[in-house]
Amino acid sequence: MNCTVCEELLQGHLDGDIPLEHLEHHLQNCSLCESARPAILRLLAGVALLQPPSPSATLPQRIKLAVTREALVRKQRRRWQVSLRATLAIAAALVILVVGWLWPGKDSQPVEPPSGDLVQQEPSPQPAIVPLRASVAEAGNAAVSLTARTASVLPSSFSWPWLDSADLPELLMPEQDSLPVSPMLESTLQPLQDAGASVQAGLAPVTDSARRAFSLLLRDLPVSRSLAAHKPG
Amino acid sequence: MPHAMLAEDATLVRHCLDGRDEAVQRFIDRFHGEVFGLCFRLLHHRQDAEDVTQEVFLRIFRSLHTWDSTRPLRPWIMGIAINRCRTWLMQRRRRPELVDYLQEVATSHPQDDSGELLLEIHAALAELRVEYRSVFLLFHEQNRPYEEIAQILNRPVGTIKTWLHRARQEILTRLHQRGMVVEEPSPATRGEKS
Repeated sequence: MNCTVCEELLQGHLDGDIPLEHLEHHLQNCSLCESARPAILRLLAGVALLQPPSPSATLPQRIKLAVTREALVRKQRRRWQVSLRATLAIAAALVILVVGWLWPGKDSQPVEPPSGDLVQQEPSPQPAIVPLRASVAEAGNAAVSLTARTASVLPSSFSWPWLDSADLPELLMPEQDSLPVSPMLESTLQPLQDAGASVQAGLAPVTDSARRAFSLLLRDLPVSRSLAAHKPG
Repeated sequence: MPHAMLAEDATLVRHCLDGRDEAVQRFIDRFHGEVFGLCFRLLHHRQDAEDVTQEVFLRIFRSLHTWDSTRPLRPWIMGIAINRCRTWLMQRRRRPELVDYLQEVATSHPQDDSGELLLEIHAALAELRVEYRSVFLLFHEQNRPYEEIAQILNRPVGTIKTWLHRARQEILTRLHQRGMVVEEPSPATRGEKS
């Protein structure tokens, strides 16, 4: 189209701003628009006929079915995701708990296996997280020494109200036979000392067994890397 | 857009999000005709248009919670429809098929030559860019105002006007070039003949 006036009139009319008569009047009188006139009239007639196509009657049902089905699937997937997340959260909490329990503290030192005597622990300046291995070793030492001490001091654990408190050190050191002991006291102490010796002898296998058991347990416990790294030497 | 219309849209969407069955049905009934009409005109294939319409509604319900309730609902829906059609057209370009808009217009107006006329218009429309075609159809077939078309296509109103004018101009040119237009005699020749 070469005529700008016609173009403006056509666009204005199609926009609904200019009545058709103005355009028709121009088309009848403009020589430039002569060849374009049939096409313009055809376009105007065609545009007036345009109507949106109709969908098939079953389309809404198809859409509804698809939407409902997807909503159901999404709901099930969300439920499954919630279950998965809960399971993972519980698993993570358990892992953190176990790792926190096994993880050695920053200042903790490795504990040597029990050698029979009570392990003297240096009091640490700050309370540190004691690893399980150290705790078991300490518990083992305590159990062994308690068993041994129970056997060795059993006689002293009795209360003797007829004895003077000044005599008690002598009673607690029965190996010092050279100290003078009154005959009456000696006759009283002798059966008790014999009883204590027999108890100690009787408990000795139990003490040894406990020590062996704790040593085996310590050997089988996993030693963490950080514990190994803290090992002196 | 009237405030009451916005409030009605917001209520409908809220009910759909609540999972109310009748609201979902109302939503589909209200918009499926327009969505299908646009899809069919852009794709020129009835089955493809129905498939895309279904897909459009699935996408709409999937992202209904993201809809801004301060904006009208229809432009948002039609925008999704146009985007889906554009994607579909790009995919279909790799597997070209025959279009069936001829069948649609041929059966619509069997009595007069209006069917043939519509055929010409649609054939010319089919050769336009998707943006031009969308604007032309939204304006002339679905009678949407410029402002709404601008919202649908997310472009300024000035751009929409330019696209629509170019679309009309190109259709006019194609109608002329295709030789389907019977040249009418000029007033001077008509005078001579009569």
